[in-house]
Amino acid sequence: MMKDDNELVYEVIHGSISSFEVLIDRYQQTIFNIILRMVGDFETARDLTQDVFVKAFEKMGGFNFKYRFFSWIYRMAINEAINYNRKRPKNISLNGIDPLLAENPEASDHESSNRLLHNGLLNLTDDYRVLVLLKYYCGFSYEEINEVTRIPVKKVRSRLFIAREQLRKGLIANGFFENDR
Amino acid sequence: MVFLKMTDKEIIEKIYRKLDGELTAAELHELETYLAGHPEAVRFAKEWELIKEQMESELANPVDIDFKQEILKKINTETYKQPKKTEILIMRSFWSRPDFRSGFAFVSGVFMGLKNMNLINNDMKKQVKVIISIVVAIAILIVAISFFFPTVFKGLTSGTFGKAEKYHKQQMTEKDILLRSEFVNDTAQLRNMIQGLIYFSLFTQDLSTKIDSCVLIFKAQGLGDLAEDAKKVSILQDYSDFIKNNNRTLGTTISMLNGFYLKDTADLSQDVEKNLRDFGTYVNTLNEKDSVLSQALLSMDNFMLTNKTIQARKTEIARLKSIRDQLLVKSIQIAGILGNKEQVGSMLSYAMASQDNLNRLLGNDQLGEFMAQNKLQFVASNEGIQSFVASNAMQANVSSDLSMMFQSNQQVGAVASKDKLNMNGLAMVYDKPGLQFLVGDKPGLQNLVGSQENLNAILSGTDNLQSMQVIAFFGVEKLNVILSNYSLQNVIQAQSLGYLPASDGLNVIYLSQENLGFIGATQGLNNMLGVLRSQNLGVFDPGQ
Repeated sequence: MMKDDNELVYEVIHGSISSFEVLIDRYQQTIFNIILRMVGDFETARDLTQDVFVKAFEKMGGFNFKYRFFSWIYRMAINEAINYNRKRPKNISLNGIDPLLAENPEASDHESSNRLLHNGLLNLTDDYRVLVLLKYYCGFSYEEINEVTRIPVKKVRSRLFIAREQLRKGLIANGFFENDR
Repeated sequence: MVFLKMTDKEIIEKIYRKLDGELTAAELHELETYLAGHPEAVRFAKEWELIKEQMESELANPVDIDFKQEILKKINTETYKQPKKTEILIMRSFWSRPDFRSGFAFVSGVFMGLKNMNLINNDMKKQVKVIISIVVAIAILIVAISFFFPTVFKGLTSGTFGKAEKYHKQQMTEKDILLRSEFVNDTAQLRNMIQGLIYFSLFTQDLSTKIDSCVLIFKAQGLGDLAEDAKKVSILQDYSDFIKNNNRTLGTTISMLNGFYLKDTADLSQDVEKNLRDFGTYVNTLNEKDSVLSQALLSMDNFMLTNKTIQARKTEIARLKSIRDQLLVKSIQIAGILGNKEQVGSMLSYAMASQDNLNRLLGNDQLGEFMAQNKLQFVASNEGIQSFVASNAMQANVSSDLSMMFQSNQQVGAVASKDKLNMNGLAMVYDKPGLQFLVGDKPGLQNLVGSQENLNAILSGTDNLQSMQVIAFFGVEKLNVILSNYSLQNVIQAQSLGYLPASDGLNVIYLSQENLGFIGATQGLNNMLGVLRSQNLGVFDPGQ
């Protein structure tokens, strides 16, 4: 029977590395994908993902069982990515460091759309991007987004409304919809 | 048809909600009707469908990575944190709360001071009197605040897990309060529950003590020198601490229920609910974590079987095995109390499987000859009791065989002949000093112990000379586990145990004159679980 996250956390706290491995297996993919879309760079996302799990391991002794593990680790991942973006030198263009954003004339329509979507996402501010990612890449409900970000549900709704509108406008501007018109 | 006037924002919001699958059928119909007449809105909706589609396609094909090894390399396993004692909120009586006590002491002190000062100096200046009055007023205020706005005590209890946590989010409704009111006013139910909880507390406390003794003695002999063993011992100790801590909480719960029982407490509050839930969490955790016991026992056995130095000291090894055996029996009992069929099965199975090797260490294989002569057998497979039962075709006629087995006990025979017990003649007994588990039919067991009278005495728990004890009867469909000395009369009466938290196919029979706590523990648990379920606080479902 699959153990729930908090049970695994309990075991990790009590010295079980194998339980931590299960948690890594369970969450590394999503964490990495969120961070990748937050920072836009594969190598950085890889490093930050690893850092998140290392920090999670180190801080697990202070884990509050009142909360669910996923919200705890996602919050950690988001903070890690936001901190990285804050420290990132502003004069480096995202386009310059992100292979996902690089234009490729041989790319398929799907790949092109993907690139444009990433570009659109990276043009959002971190606060808005996080919400879009949690909503659409993690498939979270408003309540779950609230659990991760601690932003009240009402505010999640209103901010997501703005984030979506900004994303759509950005995508219109970068030609995301052109093939469909 | 009348259209609702929708602003752009409302339409956009509806389109988003449609994408999220949140619209009701009526809202969907309303939106579609609107879209039919507004091509711009249709375009907007299509754009978002495209965005969502693109995102979902990525979600379905995430970048495939595996950083596990890198992460594990980065982790310094030596520095992992000690377990945090997770906190369960517990309401405490006012007097047991430090803020109330401090406030009380403060007020008393100020009054005493005031009184003394008055004695010394009756002509105290008005200004001083005013200051003292203010201080007294503040002190009274502190006490009043602590009284009317009680703080919650964060007990040192670990192991609140997600599954149980979700019930903490439920809101209390008027209906709940009404139900609770009925419950706390049901004197008979309350009395049973209080008694049962006391027994449960006593039993688990005893388990905790056994664990502590085991840990102490094994550690003194060197178990724990290896890192892997040290972890298991540490986890076992945490399990024991968890029991102790939660039993303190249980004490609070019992006091609270006692208050209702004695009609001392008039008001109903969420405290009852909280404590009931905390108890449910406690039981859940005990159930979920019972593998700690088997893991630790495994560690202890390996220690005894591999440590040549200890093996050379027969007295020491006998002492270690004796305390380990006590913990083993206790572990089976707690699994029985919790209705954890799988754990009972695997622990019994392990108990039997491990005896062969351990007894060889002690040169204690005198039962082997009896076994061969009397066609008794060890159950030495790890497949569990049930598979053993299944692989040994049960031929005996249940009631007649029971009657024969217990024919010297008229009362038992009479009741057994009513076919109340679904047993056949196979029983599992164990030799207490050696904890040799044996399974045999009536003639085999009878030969083993010398006579049918002796066998009956053993089975009925009235045997004072023999060291044998019965632990289980195998039934055609059910495994009946007898977990301590008992009187057969009680076993028969234990038909009511059908209400106990036993899974289908397992009757836990646990009767003992000297271990009333065990009976009460299970009954108490069952009473409490019944209430948890009836009050829709369901936090525990045995066998799940």
